[in-house]
Parts: sequence; C-alpha cells; structure tokens
Amino acid sequence: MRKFTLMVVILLFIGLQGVFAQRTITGTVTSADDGTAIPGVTVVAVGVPGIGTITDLNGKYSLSIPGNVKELQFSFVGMKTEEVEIGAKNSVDIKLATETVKLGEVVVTALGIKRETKALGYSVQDLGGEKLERVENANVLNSLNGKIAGVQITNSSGASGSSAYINIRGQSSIGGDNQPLIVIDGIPIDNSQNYSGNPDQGTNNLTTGVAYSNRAIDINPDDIQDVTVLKGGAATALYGLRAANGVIVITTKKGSSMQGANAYNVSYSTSVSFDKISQMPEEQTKYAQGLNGKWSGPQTGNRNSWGPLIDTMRFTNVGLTPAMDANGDGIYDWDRNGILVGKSDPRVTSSSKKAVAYDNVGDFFKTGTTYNNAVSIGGGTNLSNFYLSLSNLKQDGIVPNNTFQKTTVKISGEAKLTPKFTASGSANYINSGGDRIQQGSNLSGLMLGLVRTPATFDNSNGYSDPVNTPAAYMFPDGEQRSFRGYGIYDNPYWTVNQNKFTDDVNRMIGNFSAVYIPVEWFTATYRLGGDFYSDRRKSYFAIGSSAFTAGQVFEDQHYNRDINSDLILNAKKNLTKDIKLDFTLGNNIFQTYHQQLYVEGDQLSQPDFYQISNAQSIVSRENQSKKRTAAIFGELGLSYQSLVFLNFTGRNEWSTSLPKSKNSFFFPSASLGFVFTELGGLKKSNVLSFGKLRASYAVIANDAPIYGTLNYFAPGFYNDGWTTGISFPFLSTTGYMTDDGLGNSSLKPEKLKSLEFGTDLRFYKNRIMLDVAYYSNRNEDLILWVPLAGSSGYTSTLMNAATMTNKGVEITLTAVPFKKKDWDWTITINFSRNKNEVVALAPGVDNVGLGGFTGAEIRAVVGKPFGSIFGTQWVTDKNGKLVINDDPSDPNYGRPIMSLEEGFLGSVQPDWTSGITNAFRYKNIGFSFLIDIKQGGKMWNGTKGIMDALGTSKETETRGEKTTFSGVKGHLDANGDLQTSGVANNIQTTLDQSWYNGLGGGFGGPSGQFVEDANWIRLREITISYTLGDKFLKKNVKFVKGLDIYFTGKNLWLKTPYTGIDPETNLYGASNAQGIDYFNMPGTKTYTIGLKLKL
Amino acid sequence: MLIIMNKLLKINDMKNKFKKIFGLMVLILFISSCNKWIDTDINKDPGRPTDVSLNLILPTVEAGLGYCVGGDLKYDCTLWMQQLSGAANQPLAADRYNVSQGDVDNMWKWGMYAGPMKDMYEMMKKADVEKSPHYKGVAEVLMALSLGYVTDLWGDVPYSDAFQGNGALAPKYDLQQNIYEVTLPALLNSAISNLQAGSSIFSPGTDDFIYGGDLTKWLKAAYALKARYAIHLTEQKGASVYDSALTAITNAFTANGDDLQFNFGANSNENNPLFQFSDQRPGDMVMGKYLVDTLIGLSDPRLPYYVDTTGGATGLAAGEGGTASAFGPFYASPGSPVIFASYVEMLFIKAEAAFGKNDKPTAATAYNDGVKASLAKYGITDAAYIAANASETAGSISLAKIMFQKYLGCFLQIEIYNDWRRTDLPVLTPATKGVLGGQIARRYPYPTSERIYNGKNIPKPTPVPTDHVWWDKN
Repeated sequence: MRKFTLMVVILLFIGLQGVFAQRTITGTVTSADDGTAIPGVTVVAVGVPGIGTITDLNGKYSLSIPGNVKELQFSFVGMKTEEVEIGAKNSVDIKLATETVKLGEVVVTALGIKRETKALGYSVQDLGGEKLERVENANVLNSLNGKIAGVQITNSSGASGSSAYINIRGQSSIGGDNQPLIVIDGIPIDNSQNYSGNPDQGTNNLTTGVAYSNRAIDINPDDIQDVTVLKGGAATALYGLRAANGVIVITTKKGSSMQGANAYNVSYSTSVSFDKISQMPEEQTKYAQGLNGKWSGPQTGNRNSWGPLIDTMRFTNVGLTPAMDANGDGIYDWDRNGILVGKSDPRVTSSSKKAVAYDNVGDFFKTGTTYNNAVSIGGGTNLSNFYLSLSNLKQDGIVPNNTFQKTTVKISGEAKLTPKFTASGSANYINSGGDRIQQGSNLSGLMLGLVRTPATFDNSNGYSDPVNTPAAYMFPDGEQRSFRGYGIYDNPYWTVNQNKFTDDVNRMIGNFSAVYIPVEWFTATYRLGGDFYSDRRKSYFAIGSSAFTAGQVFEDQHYNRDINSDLILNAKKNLTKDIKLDFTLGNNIFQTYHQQLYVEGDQLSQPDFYQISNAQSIVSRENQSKKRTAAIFGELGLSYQSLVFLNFTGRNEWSTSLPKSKNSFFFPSASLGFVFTELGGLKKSNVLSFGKLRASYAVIANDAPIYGTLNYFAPGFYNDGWTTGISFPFLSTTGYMTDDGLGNSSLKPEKLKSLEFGTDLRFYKNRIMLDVAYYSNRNEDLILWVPLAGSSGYTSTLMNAATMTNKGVEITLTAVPFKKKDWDWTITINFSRNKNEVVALAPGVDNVGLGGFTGAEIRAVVGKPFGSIFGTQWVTDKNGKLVINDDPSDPNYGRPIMSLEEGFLGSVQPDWTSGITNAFRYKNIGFSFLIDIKQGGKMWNGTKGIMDALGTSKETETRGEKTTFSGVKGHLDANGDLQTSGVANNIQTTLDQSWYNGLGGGFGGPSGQFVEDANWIRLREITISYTLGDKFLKKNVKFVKGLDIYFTGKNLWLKTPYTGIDPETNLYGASNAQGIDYFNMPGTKTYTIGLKLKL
Repeated sequence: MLIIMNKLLKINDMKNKFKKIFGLMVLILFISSCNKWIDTDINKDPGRPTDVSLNLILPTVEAGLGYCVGGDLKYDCTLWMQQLSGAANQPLAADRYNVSQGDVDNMWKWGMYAGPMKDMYEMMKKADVEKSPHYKGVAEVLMALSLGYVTDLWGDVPYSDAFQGNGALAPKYDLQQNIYEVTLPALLNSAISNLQAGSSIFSPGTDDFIYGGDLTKWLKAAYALKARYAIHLTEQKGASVYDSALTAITNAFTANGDDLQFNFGANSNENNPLFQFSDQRPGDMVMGKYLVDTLIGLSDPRLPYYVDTTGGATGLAAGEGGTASAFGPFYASPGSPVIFASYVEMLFIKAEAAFGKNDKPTAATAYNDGVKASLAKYGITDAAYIAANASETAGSISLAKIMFQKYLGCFLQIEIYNDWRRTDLPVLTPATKGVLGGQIARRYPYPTSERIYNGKNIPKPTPVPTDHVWWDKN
C-alpha cells in the first residue's frame, strides 16, 4: 500500500510541469444576485485539459491560454456553470447566477470536502446554523433533535449540564461507543461522557452520582455555520475507524472578505430562557406515613406511606415522648404542627389542626433560568479574514442549586500568503461546568428522597425558603431532618445544600491548516488539530448524608488530549469534455490520551470542611489510556456529464489497540449516483425537475478497546453488590489482584458492512423535494467482553464474537405549499425507521449486559434489538397468559406469580420516529413549529415501582380495591415447575399494602410490570420571530444591519402514555444503556425570548 | 525514501519554498505512519502491572476472602440458620428460601472463583516458580478453606479445571466426593509440608494480615481444616472420621489466639462487611428470633456481643419481615473480625468426635472447654453461666448439647449450616412463609453465570435447593 501511495504522489508532482503559456486572459467574476465578487470560481479552458485557474478573493482571475482556446468555463458550487466564447478579448468579466439547486445543495462531506449533493451516491443531510440559532440549548446536540432523519437524540434529563445521547442509524457496536464522530472544521473532537466516582466501581458509578455532561456541550451553537450529518458507511468511509457510527460535520463561521463599509460584521445575540418542570409521576395525597393503616411517623424511621387516611388525622403536640421532642420545647421535632393522631384521639385539642397532604414536589422545583449572550466580529480584506466570538451561557436549573455555565472564546483567521498558498488557524477556548445534584439509585439522590416522601411529611418544615433555611432540613445539633428520622434517605433540601458536586472544564480546541494550490487542478491541504481539556471535579457529602454517613469528599481530575493530523492531496482533471476525474490521496495520524486521577477521602473529621486532608481514610486511583492510529486513504471520483457519478474510496489503517499481526487493515467503499433526469426525454420535464438514484456499498473497520490484549493486575478491590466494599491500600498495605477481564492477544478489527440505496427527487422546480434512503448494515466480528463462567478465573474475555444488523428507511420530504412575495409556508418531514437485530453474540452467549440494575438491566440479547430491557417477570403459561396463583395457602393467592427466570421485557428502540416542521413567513414575521413523534420503544420506570411499593404513587390511592387478574389459574410446585389447568382465573384479590409491598411493587416484585411504553408526540420547538425590515433599518439606524426578535418554546406540549417523568431521559446518560428511569431528574419545558442584532 | 522525495522536489520548482515544506510534510507524515508511530507497546497499560510479587497478592487474597465470606457468601445460610433474619427487601426473600440463581452470582464469581481463589491459584503457581514453598503453603491453606466453602454450599464444583483462563474457559465440575477424598487432603498435606520447608526464597511477613507470617499458626490452621473436613463426612463415612478428626485436632489450634480470622480496619475502605451492611442497608437484615430468644433464655453473656441491645434485644422470626435488633458490636463494628476457623470450633469437633466414639468424658470436657473458650473469646468470665451450661459430665453430655453450643460458639460462621445439615441440630422450625414446602434450603442454587456460560459442565439434573449435597446424606 505504501509503495502504491508513493507512486501516486510522484505522478501527481510530475503532472505539475505541464504548464505553458501563449496569451493571458483576465477578468472578474461577480454574483448576478448582489454584485459581490466571488472568490474560488474555477476558470478552465474548454477542450484543453490542464489549463485553468481559480478566482482570487476579489473574484479576479488571470489565466494563460494557448492560442487554440475558444471558450472559458466558469464554475462554482451553488452557481450555474457558464461557458463564454472569448474571441479575441483579453478581458472577460462575468456574472454567475445562483443555480436552481440552491445553497445547501453544496454539502461538506468527509474530510471537509465540499460536494454538490447531486454528485453524491449516498445520503447526507445538512442543517444550516440558522436552524439551531433560536433554540438556545446548552447542549447543541439537543438542537438537532427531530430535524434529521435517522438521527436519534436522547437528552438524559432536565438537569442543568446533563448529557445528550446521539445515535445514527442504530447501534453498530456492542461494547464500544455507538455515537457518531463529531468533527469541527476538520478536527475530530472528543465527545466523552466522563463519569466520576471510585474507578473500581466502573459503570456502576452511573447508577448513582450526578448527571454528567457529554463534551459536545462545550460547543458554542452561535459559532456554527452549518451542520452536515454523514450517515452511512460510504459517506464516512474516508474518516476510517472512528466514523463507524456516522459523522457530524460542523463548519464554523468565518470572517467574510469584503471591502469598504462591509469590511466587518458584528453580531450580538442575547436570550433568556425559563425552564419549568415538564412532567412528574403522580403522587397520592390521601394516605399518611405509616404501615398497616396505622401512623408510624418520621421518628420511627419507617419509610412507608401505608398509614391511615389523612382526612381522619389531626395534629397535636400533646403527649410527646422524648424521642419525638429531643429539645424539650413541647413541639414535635419533625413537624411544627405536631404528631398525627386520629381525630377522636384524646390528645386532640381544640387548637388541633387537620392533617394535610403537603405538596413536596410542587414546592420543591423552581423556575430555571438560562441567560445566553454571544457576540462575534468577523471581517477581512482581500488577503485575510478573521472571526472572533465570545459567548456566555449561565443556567440555573429547575432544581435549586443546580447550575451550569459555559464561556467560550473563539478566534479564527485565514490569510492568503501568496496567490497559491493560504494558511488558516483557529483557537477555541471553553470554560464550562457547574454545580450538579445527586441523582439515581443513591440514598442522597434528589428524586429518591423527594418522591418517597410521604404526603404527611413536609420536607420544607414550613419554611418559605427551605433551600436557604438550614432549619428546614437540619436539626440544631446538625443531624439531618428527614422523613425517616435522621437520614437513611436524604431530605431533598439537604441534598441540594449538603452534597455538592462541582465540575470545571477548561478546554482548548485549535487547528492550523495550510492549503496550497500550485495549479488550478491540484490542491494540497494540511491540517493539524488538537483538542485538550482538563475536567476537575470536586464532590462532597456532608457528615450525616445518607449515601456516606461519615462524610466523603473526592477530587476527580480528567485530562484529555487528542491530536489529529491530515494531509490531503486532491487533483481534479477533465479527462474529456464529458468525463471528469477527481482524485484524493491522504494521510491521517491520530493520537488520543486520557488520564484520570481520583482521590477520595472518607470519614470526615471536621464538619463542613471539605478537604482530602480532613478525611480519615483515603483511596486514590490513577488511570491512563492512550491510542494511536495512522492511515493512508484515497478517493477516486469519476463523473460523466451531470449524469453519472461514480466514487471509490479506500483506506488502510493501523491502530495500536490491536495485536501487531492484526493491526493493519484495509476497507473500501463504492458509490454511484445516477441523475436520470439528465437523460434526453426527462430533461425538460416540468413536473420532475431533478431525479437521482444512488447506491453505495462500504466496509468500515473498527479497532479494539484500548489495553484489551493483555492480562493485568489491578489494585485490590472487592464489592459484593450489597455494600461499597473494601479497597487497597488496606491497613496501610498495598495489594493487587488479577483483573476479572481476560485479555485477548488475537483480536482482529470489527467489520461494518453497509449497503445503501436511495433516491433524490425534486418536483415543480424544487417546490417538493423528496429524499428516500434504504440501508442494510451488517456488522461482524464485533468485539465485546464475553461473559465467562467465573470458575475459569475470569468473569469475561474480549472476543470478536458478535454480529448485529441495522436495516432502515429514511424519508425526508420538503414541500413549499405556498410561496408568494409576502407569504410562504414550508413543510419539512423527517421520518426514519431502523430495525436493529443482535444476530449473534458469542458461542453459548445469548445476552450480555450493557448497564443497569439486577433484575432490570439493559442488555444485548440475541434475536432482539440492541438495548433490550431484561429482568424479572411474571410467570406465563405456554400461551403467554399470566398464571394466577391458585394455592389458597399462599399469601399471594389470586395474584400473578413472579418468575425467578429473567427474560426479555421489551426493547428500548423505537419502531419509528418522525419530525415535522411547519414554517410560515408573513412579511417579517416568522412562525414555525416542530412536532416530534416517537413510536414504540420501552422504558423501565423503576421510580414507579418503588413509589408503588412505598405507597406514594397515585395508583396506590385505590388501595384496598378488589380485582380479578386476567389469566389462568396455576401455581409452581415444590420443584419450581409450573402446574396449570388452563382454567381462566376467577379468584378475587385485594390490591393492598401486602400486594404493593410485595409482588406489586418495585421491592420484591418483577421489574417487567414497570416496563412502560415510552411513545410520545411532543411540540419540540415553536418559534415566533420578527425581523426588522431592511428599509426601516436603512432609514433610521444605518449602522444596524439586521435585528431579529424571537420567542421560542421547547417541549411545551407532550403527550405520552409514560407515567413517570418526561420519557426522554436516561439514568446512564450518553451511554449504551438507554431506557433506564430510576429517580432520574425530570425533564423541562422551556420558554425563551431572544434578540439577534447584526451591525 | 529521502532520495525519492529529493527527486520529487527537484522535478518541481525548487525555488518554491512552500512546495518544499509540503514535500517535507509528506515525508514526515509517511515516515510517521511507519512502525514507530504504531508501536504495540503503546497498548500496554502504564497504569496496571502485568505481574506483581507474592507479597502484593497475599493481602488482597486475605482481605477479599474476609469480605466475601464475612458478607455475601454467608448471609443466606445464616438467615436460614435463624441467627439473622431478613427484615425487608432481598434478605426477606432469602429468609423465605427464595434465593435465585442471580442472587448467588456475585459471591461465586467475584467473591470466590474469579476473586480470591483465582489469586490463590496464581500464588501457588508463582510460589513454585519462585521457589517459595512458604507462600505456597499459605495459599494452599487458603485454597483448601475456600474450596471447602464452595463445595459445602454448592456441592460439585470446578477445581481441577478451574482458574485456567483460556486453558479452560468452561471448566468441568469435580464431584464433591472427589474433592473431599482427594483434592482437599492433597492440598492440606502439601500445605503442611510446604509450610515446614527448610528454605523458601520469599516468605510471608507483614503482608500476611492474618498471622503476620507466623507459619506455625498456618500449620495449625491446615490441621484445623483437616479436622473440619473429616467431621463433615460423618454421614458418608460413619465412625471412621472421628479418629481422623481427633488426630488432626492435636496439631490444630490450641488457644483463641490461634484462630484463623481476618480483622477489618477502621477506615471506611477497610470496614467489616456486616458493619457496612448495617450502615448502608439499615433495616434490611436484623437479628434472628431463634438466636435472640435462646440467648435471652439462657441469660447468655454473649448476647451484647452478638446483638445490638440498644433499646432491648429482640429477634425477628424467620421469613416474617419487620423490625428487630441490629447486629452486635463484636461482629458488626467497622474493625470486626470475620472468623474462618477457630479454637472453639476445634473443641466442639473434638467433643463431637469423642462423643461419636463413645468417649463421653473427653466429649464432656471438650464441650465444657468449648463453651469456656467461646466466652473467653469475648473476655467474658461468667461463673453462673459456666455452672449452668459448661459443666457437663460423661453422664450428661449429648450430641444435641454439643451441636447447640457449637451453634452459639460459631456464631455467623458457615460451619453451623454444615453442622445443621449433617446433624439436623439444633432443631429449627422452617419459616412458615418459606417457598420450599416447609423445608429449609439445603444448598445454594448454581449461579446464573455458570448455568449460562458453563452449561455443558454443570451437574445434570441441576440440583434444586432442597437436594442434599453428597456429604449431607440424610
């Protein structure tokens, strides 16, 4: 391969000498639309191969031509190509008109190469930056939601700074990341979700802790000019192994190169957003804290809400025991109104108030605010241009004390050092982070404490500002005031004040690039980029916090450094008048390095002093990972007129993460675009303006996880699933243990084969545009940690074992039903359907875990889609009917039976998704809304299971109602075998405390009953904007070039059968384990008003 | 390569320095993509060693075993033996003998096989290579101890084929009979000889949390296990086991200070697992009614050591759920020990063996010594209790008394479950809400991971919880 590459390089350089001259033509190319000069227009001599140039920044060109040249051809992407007879002239000026296929028809493809969409043999979807501008999401990925077919984005929660998971055309890897590569101006950036917590606990840390960011959150949306999504293998093949899951190509704004009064552009945008909680699980308000219908108050530590009817209870401070009134002031310590007694209890006095159901949830959440300010200056001369931007986002969440802020500075510039040589560079500094709140399966988690709180316990203790009033959540001696006595579950106000998690990211993304165009048909580009960040996190739990009763503090520092280098040589030649050749050859070098230093101090001595030195026990861990890859790649494009476009790519890649003998691998792709409307008969059709068929096939390879080829020892650590466990150093002694994972020295690359067919049809001069893509991907030799029998000495080993397929259809329809001078209406519909199947995992392995809980885990299951909810379920008979216990001696007589076998409970993958945007314009007023539909896909509502068990859910308000479960009578015999007569059940049972506390709840019942449909129809975005007219501005405020005022609403309306919080959520954030809701932070609806000003 | 590049540059306009720069870039980058850049050594984790010395493995093995045996591994059987009781959540289900294959997965794979046992195996191999029989002997004692636990709880288990990684990803199962007749004796005999080896390049020292490198104590521990495994076979081998047990005991522990136990530490990453459980899962598991009522009934001075008597000592009936006293300070404090084998156990084995041989005077003396030693373990001297409960004679001693006081003396040890299965003593009333038709489970179910990933080797038909293990003949 290397020899071949060299040969080509030699040939290319040899080609440079064939330049000779006889006569010089000069001229200027301007836009027919606005008269501005167009730089970069290709000017070639028709019929004489090898003669041509491009216009400079002023649209000027100068071309030496042999005497026999009769015509010049001027072409530029997005413009109509013109051929002009030159006759005897020495000067030819020309105006180019915009082509009917408008801007946006030129898309950025792999490696930043610009192509006309009509020339592509694969599907690419493009989104202008203006579509992101008014949405004002802190995390720009969320702004893409619903706008691109085949792209699924899941915002993990409404917590400030939380992550968003993005996936294109289904998952392709079992154990690896399934999110696309994000490339900004040619430089791939890191989009990791780095989580914190003791590294020994691995991904278990994601079930607790806080909502983390994925690093795409650092992008300033205001810097974005354009986003292109490369979906299939043929589109991404040039990027190599990191692009196995698609690529999001982001192009940022540049300074323009205009002269005079327009030499600079200043734009300023400001907005304020208000967040409200969108949806919460419903709570019962009828029953008091207690058990078996009797009040059992906070002082008992009882966690249940199975007490008496609140209506029958009265407050009293008569007859308090010392345990209820520790300070002896005659007032019950946990509620200033007193303890609860029955209304006819002798302790009831004339001043006794009626018991009440406190609105803990309603009182807790607040209106969040986000302030977003961005300013940018762009400008330039004919030789250089620059862009400078500054932005700040400051967010206060709906959860008190939950904040996120982001400040970005970006400077980029470009200089034409000689007519043939252009250098450019950019530097982008980001500082981001905030204060995050504990969530999930975490005794200090916010929602855990909040929705478990009985209706009769007032978390705020009656204070109007409990967030800032310690007496709300703390007794005078510093002990915690919670509904379970002195803790066990944290009072939410304690959580937001006494458990802090702060992250501080400092990031620098920079690049340098040089473009050398020695002759018009040859371009050499070199680009070097780096992405560096440090992410310093500090977390503490006050003494008395439920998760760490003795207090904890940790420092977790992540450092990441990615370096990417690309050399791209491109040659374009017209082989004949009709056949064009486009040849690219390149080299890529990449290195990624990540280091984590974690130091945890437990058992704090001095309260409220959060330094590691204040801890009696210290655990520290250091992790590093490093990988390098190198690649040589080439692309060969051939086109015949505007009719046929044929493209081949090949890439050979080397990766350090594979064993030496397997670390070099080659993968090819081929694509074909056939514009059938160029054929004679169809050319003049008034109905079908443009029609293309396309087909592509690609193989992409993917390497192995870092450090997967050897066996290691790790610092000693044990944990049994019940407790946090033990770790080394232990008793001042260091100790190591063999890693549970068995390395594999014979790993080979994963192979991802993708086949795609599509069509691109435009009707009535682009009034209706339809793009349909069908793809079928088969991913083989997927590497995963294959579970092993523990008796082998290991619990898993890395293997090339799995096969997975994704088949799907994407349809994008854009229609302009109405278009007049003052009015227009555009509809854009995206529809996508992906069917994923895990075809095989490893011999003897029919499922592997991706994350979650015992009894409710997200797994890859053979024969099912990736991301299956797997866990405990009801016993069913062979016809799939519920078996109802017919053993009268069983306490669960008349109720379904829980199976000890775990099984498939549903897939988290949607059947289809669709985004429908309607945009209207009336003069200067714009109105648009985006309806987002997700059909199918399940979610485990673990929150509800626990609320049912504890008696706080609305459902338990009907406690005591009788029901007859539909199913057949039967039972399990002593051997655990099912005995059923098949007779329909007629046994009545009562849905009471014993049901919900047992089988009918999340403590002890099967998790299958809490797997719910997570369909939705939502009004994802609605925007009303007003743009101040040019005439008005020119007349009154000349220095203002544009002013735009808008209102945007997000998620204002949501319709879903899901009974928990907004089902667009995931406890594991941006990871493969999607579909878990266990005390996740609720989602939000947002109202934004903003202003954009251009000077 | 350089020559070619030079030629390349000459062909073109040498005056153009940008061309030169590009040429150089091409050169540099293409050279870079050669082997130097893709260096396989980069894929070796600098953060984790691929090999460590014996004295860095032993501490982890001991602490890991202490954590697993003192925690997950013993919870189910100590619930069933009604020393503890499941108050809520999973322990309540377990108390009703409702233990699933998933429930025992962690303890099998991370707690034992791919945990400390795997590392004991590594130590045994490494000690051979490094000619360090003392380390090997210690590892063998610990392996015999661990293998005993897993075979006693599960029956037939992998050993001869286990821990080999790629050598046997699906290890075959050894019959329990073979483990008892061949493997355990071989391990312990080898340990006894290795521990007495005249030379050993490396020997355990302060890295040995249990005995601080005192090999004579490890030797006693090896004999103690010989005695334990001998007495386990009463039902299978009858009277013949008594002599083996008694012979072994003469070389086993001679004082409480010899006990094979692991002491946890005060720091939160060093805490006893039962303490961690009571701290992190308060109210899920409490004291058992049978034990607490018994201790109260006997005015047993060990009560405040076993039971948290704050607010009075109460126990919870098996399988009923609810609330009761928490675990006592001796066993559930941050630094509490986990006892693997004890002098007290030896005395009761001696009593049982002598009783079995009809040597009742020896049995009575050993029994009385056992009770006294148990009290002494907590620093208790209680003449009244000893007069009432540790003053047996040849005429008054009975197997029931021996097993009963062993049940109290070996509090929270898996051994009481083994004894109960052999002797059905003490007599326990199964949980009324039990799921096994009025029976107490007689083994742990094979774990999920073995069923799925080693399905071809797992015994068939796969035993159910009411099936007896081999030595539990009746």
